[in-house]
Amino acid sequence: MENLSYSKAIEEIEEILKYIESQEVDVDVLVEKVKRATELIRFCKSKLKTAEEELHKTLIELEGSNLTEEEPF
Amino acid sequence: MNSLINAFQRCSLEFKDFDAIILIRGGGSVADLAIFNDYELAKTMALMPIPVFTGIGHTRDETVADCVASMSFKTPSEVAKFILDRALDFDSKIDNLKQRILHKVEAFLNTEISKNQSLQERFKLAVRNSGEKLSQKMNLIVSEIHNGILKKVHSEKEFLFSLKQNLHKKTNYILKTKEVEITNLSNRVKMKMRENITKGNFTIKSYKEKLFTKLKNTLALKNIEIERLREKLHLLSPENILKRGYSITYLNGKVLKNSQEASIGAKVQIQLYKGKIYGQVINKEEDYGEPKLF
Repeated sequence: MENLSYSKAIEEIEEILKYIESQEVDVDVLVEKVKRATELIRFCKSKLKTAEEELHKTLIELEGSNLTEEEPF
Repeated sequence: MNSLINAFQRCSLEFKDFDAIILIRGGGSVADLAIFNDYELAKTMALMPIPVFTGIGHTRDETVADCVASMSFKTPSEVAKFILDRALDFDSKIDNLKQRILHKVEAFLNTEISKNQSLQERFKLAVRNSGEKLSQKMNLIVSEIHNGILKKVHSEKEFLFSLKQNLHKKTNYILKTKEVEITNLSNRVKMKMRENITKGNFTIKSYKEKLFTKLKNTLALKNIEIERLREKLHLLSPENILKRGYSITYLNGKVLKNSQEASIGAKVQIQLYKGKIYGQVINKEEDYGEPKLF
């Protein structure tokens, strides 16, 4: 789970959903799949959150460095 | 006798060296006077080119020689006296002449000297006057030239000064103009640069904002997608289905989807949202068409 990429995770989620949507689903497998998908979604959400936080941090850093370069004269 | 004639003849040969011939005798007897009466002697005496003076004896003893002589004297002293008188006379005459010549010369010289002196004085005066005049003139000319030069120098100085002032003024003016131009240019450059920097900053800011908007949008889209997936999963999750009142029927551990598969009396398990029910098939309906719930 740790070394999984976001796109791979999304891919797996889509696959699981496709699988669940098909008629032949064993409930036990279904439970497992749903559990896996939920974990994957949590993972993706946390990744997105981290990305957003990183973005904000970068933004704040940029604003700060911008202020010092404002007046060259 | 012959010696006398010889002497006379010798004298006549060199007469130019002599003024006169003196024939004298230092006393004696009358007999001794005989030779003075000789013809030859008298002839020689008479023919002499220069005067012959005699001083042979006394007046009563007059001889032929006395007769042919230019002048005859009684004694040698008388001859001497005569000659001395003559010499004295001549001397005094010459003296007189000398004096007169001297006087004349002196007078002439004096007049000449005085003339000369006066001329000299006049010349000196004239020279001095002309010199003074000349020097005055020269002084005048020199002072005029001096004044002229001073004037010229002064005017040149003034001209130079005015030129200098002009140059200074013009230079200052040009410098000031250039300074103003440079200040203007520098201000323009500063303004332009500031403008460009502001523009650049603005562009950067806009790019930054665009970038962040884009990223945010992407993130939001991803969130939405995830949310959609989550929703879907939630909807598809067995708990959710069961929660809404649906249940799963198992027959021999397999999910029962068709009533045809279950015979009457078969034992089934029914999974509910919460809990399980164990039951037996009492009756059944069969459906051959499309699955239809109601």
